[in-house]
Amino acid sequence: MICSTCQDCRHLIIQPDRLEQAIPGLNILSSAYGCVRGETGLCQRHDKFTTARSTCPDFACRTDTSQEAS
Amino acid sequence: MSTQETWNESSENAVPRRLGWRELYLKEDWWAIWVGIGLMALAIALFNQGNPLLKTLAINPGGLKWTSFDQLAGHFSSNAQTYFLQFISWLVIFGVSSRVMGIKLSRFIPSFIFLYVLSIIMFSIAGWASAAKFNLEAPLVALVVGLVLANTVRMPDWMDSAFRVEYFIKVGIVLLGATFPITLVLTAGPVAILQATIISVTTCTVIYFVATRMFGLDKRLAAVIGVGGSVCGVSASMAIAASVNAKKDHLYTSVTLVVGWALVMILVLPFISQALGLSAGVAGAWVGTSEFADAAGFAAASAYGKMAGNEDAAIKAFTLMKVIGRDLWIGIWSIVWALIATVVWEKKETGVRPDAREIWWRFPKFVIGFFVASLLMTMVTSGFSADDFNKVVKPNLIMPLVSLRTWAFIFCFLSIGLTTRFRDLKPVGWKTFSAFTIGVLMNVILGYILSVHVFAEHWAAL
Repeated sequence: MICSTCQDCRHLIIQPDRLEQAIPGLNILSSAYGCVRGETGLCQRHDKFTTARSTCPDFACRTDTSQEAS
Repeated sequence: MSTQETWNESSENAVPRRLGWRELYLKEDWWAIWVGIGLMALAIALFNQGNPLLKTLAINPGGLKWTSFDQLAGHFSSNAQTYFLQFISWLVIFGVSSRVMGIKLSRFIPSFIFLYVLSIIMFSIAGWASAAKFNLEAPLVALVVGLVLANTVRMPDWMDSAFRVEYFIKVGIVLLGATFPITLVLTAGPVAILQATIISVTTCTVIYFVATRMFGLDKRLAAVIGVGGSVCGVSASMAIAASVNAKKDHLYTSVTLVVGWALVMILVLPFISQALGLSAGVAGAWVGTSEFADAAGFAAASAYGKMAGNEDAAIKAFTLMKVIGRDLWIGIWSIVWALIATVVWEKKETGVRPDAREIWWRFPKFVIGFFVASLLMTMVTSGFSADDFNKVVKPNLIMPLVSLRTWAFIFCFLSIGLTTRFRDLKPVGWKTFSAFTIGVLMNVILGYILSVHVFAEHWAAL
Protein backbone atom coordinates (compact mmCIF):
# COMPACT_ATOMS: atom_id res chain seq x y z
CA MET A 1 0.00 0.00 0.00
CA ILE A 2 1.27 3.45 -0.89
CA CYS A 3 0.77 5.99 1.87
CA SER A 4 -0.10 9.30 0.30
CA THR A 5 -3.49 10.79 1.16
CA CYS A 6 -5.23 11.61 4.42
CA GLN A 7 -7.02 8.26 4.01
CA ASP A 8 -3.81 6.57 5.17
CA CYS A 9 -2.82 9.19 7.71
CA ARG A 10 -2.92 8.30 11.39
CA HIS A 11 -4.15 11.78 12.27
CA LEU A 12 -7.46 11.25 10.46
CA ILE A 13 -10.49 9.95 12.35
CA ILE A 14 -12.71 8.40 9.70
CA GLN A 15 -14.35 5.53 11.59
CA PRO A 16 -17.99 6.53 12.20
CA ASP A 17 -18.14 5.49 15.86
CA ARG A 18 -14.97 7.40 16.72
CA LEU A 19 -16.17 10.40 14.75
CA GLU A 20 -19.43 10.51 16.70
CA GLN A 21 -17.43 10.36 19.92
CA ALA A 22 -15.14 13.16 18.78
CA ILE A 23 -17.99 15.53 17.95
CA PRO A 24 -20.66 15.27 20.66
CA GLY A 25 -24.15 15.77 19.30
CA LEU A 26 -23.28 14.65 15.77
CA ASN A 27 -25.65 11.70 16.14
CA ILE A 28 -28.65 13.73 17.37
CA LEU A 29 -30.04 14.76 14.01
CA SER A 30 -27.38 13.26 11.81
CA SER A 31 -25.08 10.27 11.60
CA ALA A 32 -21.50 9.47 10.75
CA TYR A 33 -22.78 6.22 9.19
CA GLY A 34 -24.68 8.00 6.40
CA CYS A 35 -23.75 8.41 2.74
CA VAL A 36 -23.84 12.21 2.98
CA ARG A 37 -20.59 12.19 4.97
CA GLY A 38 -18.88 10.47 2.06
CA GLU A 39 -15.32 9.53 2.95
CA THR A 40 -14.50 12.46 5.14
CA GLY A 41 -13.14 12.67 8.64
CA LEU A 42 -11.61 14.77 11.37
CA CYS A 43 -7.91 15.57 11.20
CA GLN A 44 -6.64 15.54 14.79
CA ARG A 45 -3.38 17.20 13.76
CA HIS A 46 -5.06 20.35 12.42
CA ASP A 47 -8.42 19.98 14.17
CA LYS A 48 -10.12 20.27 10.79
CA PHE A 49 -12.73 18.35 8.88
CA THR A 50 -11.31 17.08 5.62
CA THR A 51 -11.78 14.57 2.84
CA ALA A 52 -9.85 11.31 2.71
CA ARG A 53 -8.51 12.36 -0.70
CA SER A 54 -6.68 15.37 0.72
CA THR A 55 -2.93 15.61 1.11
CA CYS A 56 -0.84 17.58 3.58
CA PRO A 57 2.83 18.12 4.55
CA ASP A 58 2.17 16.71 8.04
CA PHE A 59 1.12 13.34 6.68
CA ALA A 60 1.99 10.42 8.97
CA CYS A 61 1.38 6.93 7.69
CA ARG A 62 -0.64 4.69 9.99
CA THR A 63 1.63 2.41 12.00
CA ASP A 64 0.06 -0.85 10.91
CA THR A 65 0.11 -0.04 7.21
CA SER A 66 3.29 -2.04 6.72
CA GLN A 67 1.69 -5.03 8.46
CA GLU A 68 -1.29 -4.68 6.19
CA ALA A 69 0.96 -4.62 3.15
CA SER A 70 2.86 -7.68 4.25
CA MET B 1 -8.15 -6.95 7.83
CA SER B 2 -11.87 -7.61 8.12
CA THR B 3 -14.59 -5.06 7.71
CA GLN B 4 -15.34 -5.11 11.39
CA GLU B 5 -11.75 -4.38 12.30
CA THR B 6 -11.74 -1.49 9.90
CA TRP B 7 -14.45 0.34 11.78
CA ASN B 8 -13.97 -1.07 15.23
CA GLU B 9 -13.54 1.65 17.82
CA SER B 10 -10.67 -0.19 19.40
CA SER B 11 -8.70 -0.20 16.17
CA GLU B 12 -7.44 3.36 16.30
CA ASN B 13 -4.53 2.56 14.05
CA ALA B 14 -6.54 0.53 11.59
CA VAL B 15 -6.19 1.58 8.00
CA PRO B 16 -9.56 2.73 6.71
CA ARG B 17 -9.85 1.47 3.16
CA ARG B 18 -11.83 3.30 0.53
CA LEU B 19 -15.35 1.98 0.80
CA GLY B 20 -16.20 1.52 -2.87
CA TRP B 21 -18.77 -1.25 -3.22
CA ARG B 22 -18.49 -1.99 0.51
CA GLU B 23 -20.63 1.10 0.99
CA LEU B 24 -23.52 -1.21 0.14
CA TYR B 25 -23.24 -2.83 3.56
CA LEU B 26 -21.32 -0.27 5.58
CA LYS B 27 -23.54 2.80 5.15
CA GLU B 28 -26.92 3.06 6.82
CA ASP B 29 -28.52 4.58 3.70
CA TRP B 30 -28.06 1.28 1.89
CA TRP B 31 -29.22 -0.72 4.90
CA ALA B 32 -32.35 1.43 5.00
CA ILE B 33 -32.98 0.38 1.40
CA TRP B 34 -32.35 -3.32 2.08
CA VAL B 35 -34.57 -3.27 5.18
CA GLY B 36 -37.37 -1.16 3.67
CA ILE B 37 -37.53 -2.91 0.30
CA GLY B 38 -37.04 -6.29 1.99
CA LEU B 39 -40.02 -5.73 4.28
CA MET B 40 -42.04 -4.53 1.35
CA ALA B 41 -41.15 -7.56 -0.79
CA LEU B 42 -42.06 -9.83 2.13
CA ALA B 43 -45.37 -8.02 2.55
CA ILE B 44 -46.19 -8.43 -1.15
CA ALA B 45 -45.23 -12.13 -1.15
CA LEU B 46 -47.34 -12.86 1.95
CA PHE B 47 -50.23 -10.80 0.56
CA ASN B 48 -50.19 -12.83 -2.66
CA GLN B 49 -50.29 -16.06 -0.63
CA GLY B 50 -53.09 -14.74 1.57
CA ASN B 51 -50.78 -15.16 4.59
CA PRO B 52 -51.63 -12.68 7.41
CA LEU B 53 -48.23 -13.02 9.20
CA LEU B 54 -46.95 -9.50 8.51
CA LYS B 55 -50.35 -7.96 9.18
CA THR B 56 -50.31 -9.69 12.57
CA LEU B 57 -46.72 -8.69 13.33
CA ALA B 58 -47.35 -5.04 12.41
CA ILE B 59 -49.41 -4.62 15.56
CA ASN B 60 -49.19 -1.44 17.68
CA PRO B 61 -51.47 -0.07 20.40
CA GLY B 62 -51.58 3.42 18.83
CA GLY B 63 -55.04 2.97 17.35
CA LEU B 64 -56.56 1.25 20.37
CA LYS B 65 -58.57 4.24 21.70
CA TRP B 66 -58.55 2.69 25.16
CA THR B 67 -60.51 4.25 27.98
CA SER B 68 -59.34 2.16 30.95
CA PHE B 69 -56.08 0.54 32.03
CA ASP B 70 -57.87 -2.80 32.15
CA GLN B 71 -58.62 -2.48 28.46
CA LEU B 72 -54.98 -1.63 27.73
CA ALA B 73 -53.72 -4.49 29.90
CA GLY B 74 -56.16 -6.84 28.17
CA HIS B 75 -54.75 -5.85 24.77
CA PHE B 76 -51.19 -6.64 25.84
CA SER B 77 -52.03 -9.90 27.60
CA SER B 78 -53.94 -11.23 24.62
CA ASN B 79 -51.22 -10.16 22.17
CA ALA B 80 -48.12 -10.86 24.30
CA GLN B 81 -46.74 -13.49 21.91
CA THR B 82 -47.22 -11.24 18.90
CA TYR B 83 -45.42 -8.35 20.57
CA PHE B 84 -42.59 -10.67 21.57
CA LEU B 85 -42.23 -11.93 17.99
CA GLN B 86 -42.36 -8.38 16.71
CA PHE B 87 -39.65 -7.30 19.15
CA ILE B 88 -37.42 -10.20 18.08
CA SER B 89 -37.96 -9.29 14.42
CA TRP B 90 -36.98 -5.65 14.94
CA LEU B 91 -34.03 -6.69 17.11
CA VAL B 92 -32.73 -9.03 14.42
CA ILE B 93 -33.26 -6.53 11.59
CA PHE B 94 -31.66 -3.55 13.30
CA GLY B 95 -29.19 -5.57 15.39
CA VAL B 96 -27.65 -7.50 12.50
CA SER B 97 -27.43 -4.45 10.24
CA SER B 98 -25.92 -2.32 13.00
CA ARG B 99 -23.39 -5.05 13.79
CA VAL B 100 -22.31 -5.20 10.16
CA MET B 101 -21.85 -1.41 10.24
CA GLY B 102 -19.56 -1.85 13.25
CA ILE B 103 -21.80 -1.28 16.28
CA LYS B 104 -21.24 -3.72 19.14
CA LEU B 105 -24.21 -5.99 19.89
CA SER B 106 -23.33 -6.02 23.60
CA ARG B 107 -24.25 -2.32 23.58
CA PHE B 108 -26.98 -2.38 20.97
CA ILE B 109 -29.19 -5.11 22.47
CA PRO B 110 -29.81 -3.70 25.98
CA SER B 111 -30.24 -0.25 24.54
CA PHE B 112 -32.72 -1.44 21.92
CA ILE B 113 -34.75 -3.33 24.54
CA PHE B 114 -35.06 -0.03 26.43
CA LEU B 115 -36.06 1.79 23.22
CA TYR B 116 -38.67 -0.82 22.30
CA VAL B 117 -40.31 -0.80 25.74
CA LEU B 118 -40.38 3.01 25.71
CA SER B 119 -41.92 2.92 22.22
CA ILE B 120 -44.70 0.64 23.46
CA ILE B 121 -45.42 3.18 26.21
CA MET B 122 -45.46 6.06 23.67
CA PHE B 123 -47.88 4.17 21.42
CA SER B 124 -50.05 3.40 24.44
CA ILE B 125 -50.23 7.07 25.40
CA ALA B 126 -51.14 8.00 21.81
CA GLY B 127 -53.76 5.22 21.84
CA TRP B 128 -55.60 6.71 24.81
CA ALA B 129 -59.10 7.79 23.75
CA SER B 130 -58.57 11.31 25.13
CA ALA B 131 -55.00 11.78 23.83
CA ALA B 132 -56.00 14.07 20.97
CA LYS B 133 -57.88 16.35 23.37
CA PHE B 134 -54.59 17.10 25.14
CA ASN B 135 -52.51 17.18 21.94
CA LEU B 136 -50.66 14.06 23.09
CA GLU B 137 -49.49 13.22 19.59
CA ALA B 138 -47.00 10.35 19.59
CA PRO B 139 -44.13 12.28 17.91
CA LEU B 140 -44.31 15.17 20.37
CA VAL B 141 -44.74 12.92 23.42
CA ALA B 142 -41.82 10.72 22.31
CA LEU B 143 -39.60 13.74 21.77
CA VAL B 144 -40.42 15.34 25.11
CA VAL B 145 -40.12 12.09 27.09
CA GLY B 146 -36.77 11.38 25.41
CA LEU B 147 -35.52 14.89 26.15
CA VAL B 148 -36.56 14.71 29.81
CA LEU B 149 -34.91 11.31 30.28
CA ALA B 150 -31.69 12.33 28.52
CA ASN B 151 -31.33 15.48 30.58
CA THR B 152 -32.45 14.28 33.99
CA VAL B 153 -31.27 10.66 34.14
CA ARG B 154 -27.59 10.00 33.55
CA MET B 155 -27.78 7.28 30.93
CA PRO B 156 -24.44 5.83 29.80
CA ASP B 157 -23.16 7.12 26.44
CA TRP B 158 -22.94 3.58 25.03
CA MET B 159 -26.75 3.47 25.01
CA ASP B 160 -26.59 5.76 21.97
CA SER B 161 -25.67 2.57 20.08
CA ALA B 162 -29.36 1.80 19.49
CA PHE B 163 -30.62 5.41 19.37
CA ARG B 164 -29.93 5.65 15.62
CA VAL B 165 -32.07 8.65 14.68
CA GLU B 166 -30.98 8.76 11.05
CA TYR B 167 -31.11 5.03 10.42
CA PHE B 168 -34.68 4.75 11.73
CA ILE B 169 -35.93 7.77 9.78
CA LYS B 170 -34.34 6.46 6.58
CA VAL B 171 -36.04 3.06 7.00
CA GLY B 172 -39.30 4.92 7.66
CA ILE B 173 -38.90 7.02 4.53
CA VAL B 174 -38.24 3.97 2.33
CA LEU B 175 -41.38 2.33 3.77
CA LEU B 176 -43.21 5.59 3.15
CA GLY B 177 -42.43 5.13 -0.55
CA ALA B 178 -44.71 2.08 -0.52
CA THR B 179 -47.71 4.34 0.15
CA PHE B 180 -46.62 7.03 -2.30
CA PRO B 181 -47.89 6.51 -5.87
CA ILE B 182 -45.05 7.11 -8.34
CA THR B 183 -47.38 9.33 -10.37
CA LEU B 184 -47.60 11.69 -7.40
CA VAL B 185 -43.82 11.79 -7.06
CA LEU B 186 -43.46 12.61 -10.75
CA THR B 187 -46.18 15.27 -10.86
CA ALA B 188 -45.46 16.95 -7.53
CA GLY B 189 -41.68 16.51 -7.57
CA PRO B 190 -40.80 19.40 -9.92
CA VAL B 191 -42.69 21.96 -7.83
CA ALA B 192 -40.95 20.65 -4.70
CA ILE B 193 -37.55 20.92 -6.36
CA LEU B 194 -38.33 24.48 -7.55
CA GLN B 195 -39.43 25.58 -4.08
CA ALA B 196 -36.44 23.84 -2.48
CA THR B 197 -34.07 25.54 -4.90
CA ILE B 198 -35.45 29.00 -4.06
CA ILE B 199 -35.09 28.30 -0.33
CA SER B 200 -31.71 26.63 -0.51
CA VAL B 201 -30.02 29.34 -2.60
CA THR B 202 -31.64 32.27 -0.79
CA THR B 203 -31.07 31.11 2.78
CA CYS B 204 -27.54 29.87 2.23
CA THR B 205 -26.56 33.16 0.55
CA VAL B 206 -28.21 35.24 3.26
CA ILE B 207 -26.55 33.37 6.15
CA TYR B 208 -23.15 33.49 4.46
CA PHE B 209 -23.23 37.21 3.72
CA VAL B 210 -24.76 38.18 7.05
CA ALA B 211 -22.15 36.09 8.88
CA THR B 212 -19.14 37.37 6.94
CA ARG B 213 -20.12 40.94 6.00
CA MET B 214 -22.28 42.00 8.96
CA PHE B 215 -20.64 40.04 11.77
CA GLY B 216 -17.15 39.46 10.35
CA LEU B 217 -17.24 35.72 11.08
CA ASP B 218 -14.86 33.19 9.55
CA LYS B 219 -15.90 32.35 5.99
CA ARG B 220 -15.61 28.61 6.60
CA LEU B 221 -17.87 28.81 9.61
CA ALA B 222 -20.27 30.92 7.53
CA ALA B 223 -20.34 28.28 4.77
CA VAL B 224 -20.91 25.45 7.26
CA ILE B 225 -23.82 27.12 9.07
CA GLY B 226 -25.15 28.54 5.78
CA VAL B 227 -25.63 25.11 4.24
CA GLY B 228 -26.69 23.64 7.59
CA GLY B 229 -29.49 26.22 7.81
CA SER B 230 -30.58 26.02 4.21
CA VAL B 231 -30.38 22.35 3.30
CA CYS B 232 -30.14 19.51 5.75
CA GLY B 233 -28.79 20.54 9.12
CA VAL B 234 -25.87 18.66 10.60
CA SER B 235 -25.53 16.20 7.71
CA ALA B 236 -25.13 19.03 5.21
CA SER B 237 -22.78 20.88 7.58
CA MET B 238 -20.61 17.78 7.79
CA ALA B 239 -20.42 17.54 4.00
CA ILE B 240 -19.54 21.21 3.58
CA ALA B 241 -17.09 21.19 6.51
CA ALA B 242 -15.01 18.66 4.59
CA SER B 243 -15.33 20.61 1.33
CA VAL B 244 -13.93 23.81 2.85
CA ASN B 245 -11.65 22.22 5.48
CA ALA B 246 -13.61 23.77 8.31
CA LYS B 247 -12.43 23.43 11.89
CA LYS B 248 -13.97 20.91 14.25
CA ASP B 249 -15.42 23.81 16.25
CA HIS B 250 -17.26 25.08 13.17
CA LEU B 251 -19.07 21.78 12.81
CA TYR B 252 -19.67 21.56 16.55
CA THR B 253 -21.20 25.05 16.46
CA SER B 254 -23.48 24.02 13.63
CA VAL B 255 -24.59 20.96 15.62
CA THR B 256 -25.68 23.20 18.51
CA LEU B 257 -27.50 25.69 16.29
CA VAL B 258 -29.27 23.06 14.21
CA VAL B 259 -30.32 20.94 17.19
CA GLY B 260 -31.52 23.95 19.18
CA TRP B 261 -33.61 25.47 16.41
CA ALA B 262 -34.84 22.10 15.12
CA LEU B 263 -36.27 21.30 18.56
CA VAL B 264 -37.95 24.69 18.78
CA MET B 265 -39.48 24.16 15.33
CA ILE B 266 -40.78 20.67 16.18
CA LEU B 267 -42.60 22.04 19.20
CA VAL B 268 -43.78 25.33 17.65
CA LEU B 269 -44.59 24.79 13.95
CA PRO B 270 -47.47 22.32 14.47
CA PHE B 271 -49.23 24.70 16.85
CA ILE B 272 -48.69 27.75 14.62
CA SER B 273 -50.04 25.74 11.67
CA GLN B 274 -53.04 24.83 13.80
CA ALA B 275 -53.60 28.45 14.82
CA LEU B 276 -53.40 29.52 11.16
CA GLY B 277 -55.79 26.75 10.14
CA LEU B 278 -53.45 25.44 7.44
CA SER B 279 -54.39 22.34 5.52
CA ALA B 280 -52.21 19.30 6.26
CA GLY B 281 -50.54 19.37 2.84
CA VAL B 282 -49.71 23.08 2.98
CA ALA B 283 -48.37 22.76 6.54
CA GLY B 284 -46.27 19.74 5.52
CA ALA B 285 -44.66 21.77 2.73
CA TRP B 286 -44.08 24.68 5.10
CA VAL B 287 -42.42 22.39 7.65
CA GLY B 288 -40.38 20.95 4.77
CA THR B 289 -38.99 24.38 3.91
CA SER B 290 -38.52 25.50 7.53
CA GLU B 291 -37.00 22.49 9.31
CA PHE B 292 -33.34 21.55 8.87
CA ALA B 293 -33.25 17.83 9.54
CA ASP B 294 -35.36 15.04 8.06
CA ALA B 295 -36.03 13.43 11.45
CA ALA B 296 -37.04 16.68 13.14
CA GLY B 297 -39.23 17.68 10.21
CA PHE B 298 -41.00 14.32 10.17
CA ALA B 299 -41.79 14.75 13.86
CA ALA B 300 -43.32 18.18 13.22
CA ALA B 301 -45.17 17.19 10.03
CA SER B 302 -46.47 13.97 11.54
CA ALA B 303 -47.63 15.75 14.70
CA TYR B 304 -49.53 18.39 12.74
CA GLY B 305 -50.92 15.80 10.34
CA LYS B 306 -52.42 13.97 13.33
CA MET B 307 -53.80 17.24 14.74
CA ALA B 308 -55.38 18.09 11.37
CA GLY B 309 -56.69 14.56 10.91
CA ASN B 310 -54.71 13.96 7.72
CA GLU B 311 -51.24 12.73 8.62
CA ASP B 312 -50.78 11.20 5.20
CA ALA B 313 -50.99 14.53 3.35
CA ALA B 314 -48.68 16.33 5.80
CA ILE B 315 -46.04 13.60 5.56
CA LYS B 316 -46.29 13.40 1.78
CA ALA B 317 -45.89 17.16 1.32
CA PHE B 318 -42.99 17.21 3.80
CA THR B 319 -41.25 14.32 2.05
CA LEU B 320 -41.56 15.88 -1.38
CA MET B 321 -40.33 19.23 -0.12
CA LYS B 322 -37.52 18.18 2.21
CA VAL B 323 -36.31 14.74 1.18
CA ILE B 324 -36.75 15.00 -2.57
CA GLY B 325 -36.33 18.78 -2.89
CA ARG B 326 -33.86 20.17 -0.37
CA ASP B 327 -31.70 17.14 0.39
CA LEU B 328 -30.62 16.91 -3.25
CA TRP B 329 -28.74 20.16 -2.68
CA ILE B 330 -26.19 18.60 -0.33
CA GLY B 331 -23.98 17.28 -3.12
CA ILE B 332 -24.38 20.43 -5.21
CA TRP B 333 -23.35 22.70 -2.34
CA SER B 334 -20.41 20.41 -1.58
CA ILE B 335 -19.06 20.98 -5.08
CA VAL B 336 -19.82 24.71 -5.08
CA TRP B 337 -18.14 25.35 -1.72
CA ALA B 338 -15.19 23.11 -2.56
CA LEU B 339 -14.73 25.17 -5.74
CA ILE B 340 -14.95 28.42 -3.82
CA ALA B 341 -12.50 27.12 -1.21
CA THR B 342 -9.96 25.93 -3.75
CA VAL B 343 -10.30 28.58 -6.45
CA VAL B 344 -11.20 31.72 -4.48
CA TRP B 345 -9.83 31.02 -0.97
CA GLU B 346 -6.47 29.48 -0.12
CA LYS B 347 -5.72 26.75 -2.61
CA LYS B 348 -2.64 25.50 -0.78
CA GLU B 349 -4.48 25.03 2.45
CA THR B 350 -7.25 22.95 0.97
CA GLY B 351 -5.04 20.86 -1.27
CA VAL B 352 -7.78 18.81 -2.93
CA ARG B 353 -9.56 19.49 -6.15
CA PRO B 354 -13.33 19.38 -6.24
CA ASP B 355 -14.65 16.30 -7.95
CA ALA B 356 -18.03 16.27 -9.72
CA ARG B 357 -18.50 12.73 -8.47
CA GLU B 358 -19.03 14.21 -5.00
CA ILE B 359 -22.67 14.79 -6.01
CA TRP B 360 -23.16 11.04 -6.28
CA TRP B 361 -20.87 10.11 -3.37
CA ARG B 362 -22.78 12.41 -1.04
CA PHE B 363 -26.20 11.69 -2.49
CA PRO B 364 -28.51 10.44 0.31
CA LYS B 365 -28.90 6.99 -1.26
CA PHE B 366 -31.93 5.99 0.80
CA VAL B 367 -33.95 8.30 -1.49
CA ILE B 368 -33.39 5.68 -4.20
CA GLY B 369 -35.16 3.19 -1.93
CA PHE B 370 -38.07 5.60 -1.59
CA PHE B 371 -38.42 5.79 -5.39
CA VAL B 372 -38.06 2.01 -5.84
CA ALA B 373 -40.68 1.34 -3.15
CA SER B 374 -43.05 3.83 -4.76
CA LEU B 375 -42.56 2.38 -8.23
CA LEU B 376 -42.84 -1.24 -7.05
CA MET B 377 -46.03 -0.71 -5.05
CA THR B 378 -47.62 1.30 -7.88
CA MET B 379 -46.93 -1.60 -10.26
CA VAL B 380 -48.21 -4.23 -7.81
CA THR B 381 -51.45 -2.41 -7.06
CA SER B 382 -52.19 -1.02 -10.51
CA GLY B 383 -54.22 -4.10 -11.50
CA PHE B 384 -56.78 -3.65 -8.71
CA SER B 385 -59.99 -1.68 -9.03
CA ALA B 386 -60.51 1.21 -6.60
CA ASP B 387 -63.04 -0.89 -4.71
CA ASP B 388 -60.71 -3.90 -4.41
CA PHE B 389 -57.87 -1.63 -3.43
CA ASN B 390 -59.83 -0.17 -0.51
CA LYS B 391 -61.36 -3.46 0.61
CA VAL B 392 -58.47 -5.89 0.04
CA VAL B 393 -55.14 -4.22 -0.72
CA LYS B 394 -55.29 -1.38 1.76
CA PRO B 395 -56.07 -3.37 4.92
CA ASN B 396 -53.92 -6.40 4.07
CA LEU B 397 -50.90 -4.89 2.33
CA ILE B 398 -50.70 -1.11 2.73
CA MET B 399 -51.78 -0.70 6.36
CA PRO B 400 -49.30 -3.26 7.77
CA LEU B 401 -46.52 -1.36 5.99
CA VAL B 402 -47.88 1.91 7.40
CA SER B 403 -47.76 0.39 10.89
CA LEU B 404 -44.16 -0.77 10.41
CA ARG B 405 -43.28 2.73 9.18
CA THR B 406 -44.90 4.17 12.31
CA TRP B 407 -42.69 1.92 14.43
CA ALA B 408 -39.57 3.16 12.63
CA PHE B 409 -40.72 6.75 13.15
CA ILE B 410 -41.42 6.30 16.86
CA PHE B 411 -37.96 4.72 17.33
CA CYS B 412 -36.58 7.79 15.58
CA PHE B 413 -38.56 10.43 17.52
CA LEU B 414 -37.62 8.84 20.84
CA SER B 415 -33.99 8.65 19.73
CA ILE B 416 -33.93 12.37 18.94
CA GLY B 417 -34.88 13.13 22.54
CA LEU B 418 -32.69 10.43 24.06
CA THR B 419 -29.54 11.62 22.25
CA THR B 420 -30.11 15.32 22.91
CA ARG B 421 -28.06 16.04 26.00
CA PHE B 422 -27.89 19.79 26.34
CA ARG B 423 -24.75 19.53 28.48
CA ASP B 424 -22.91 18.06 25.46
CA LEU B 425 -23.70 20.99 23.18
CA LYS B 426 -21.20 23.76 22.60
CA PRO B 427 -21.97 27.32 23.69
CA VAL B 428 -22.38 29.55 20.63
CA GLY B 429 -21.44 33.24 20.34
CA TRP B 430 -24.21 35.78 19.75
CA LYS B 431 -22.91 36.75 16.29
CA THR B 432 -23.03 33.16 15.03
CA PHE B 433 -26.38 32.64 16.69
CA SER B 434 -27.75 35.82 15.07
CA ALA B 435 -26.50 34.96 11.59
CA PHE B 436 -28.04 31.49 11.78
CA THR B 437 -31.27 32.82 13.27
CA ILE B 438 -31.66 35.25 10.37
CA GLY B 439 -31.42 32.20 8.11
CA VAL B 440 -34.04 30.42 10.19
CA LEU B 441 -36.39 33.39 9.81
CA MET B 442 -35.69 33.42 6.07
CA ASN B 443 -36.66 29.73 5.82
CA VAL B 444 -39.83 30.24 7.84
CA ILE B 445 -41.03 33.44 6.13
CA LEU B 446 -40.07 32.52 2.57
CA GLY B 447 -41.28 28.96 3.15
CA TYR B 448 -44.61 30.30 4.39
CA ILE B 449 -45.05 32.58 1.35
CA LEU B 450 -44.18 29.81 -1.09
CA SER B 451 -46.22 27.08 0.64
CA VAL B 452 -49.27 29.07 1.71
CA HIS B 453 -49.55 31.52 -1.19
CA VAL B 454 -47.45 30.78 -4.28
CA PHE B 455 -47.87 26.98 -4.43
CA ALA B 456 -50.80 26.60 -2.01
CA GLU B 457 -53.12 24.99 -4.53
CA HIS B 458 -50.50 22.40 -5.35
CA TRP B 459 -49.81 21.41 -1.72
CA ALA B 460 -53.45 21.54 -0.60
CA ALA B 461 -54.37 19.04 -3.33
CA LEU B 462 -52.14 16.29 -1.88
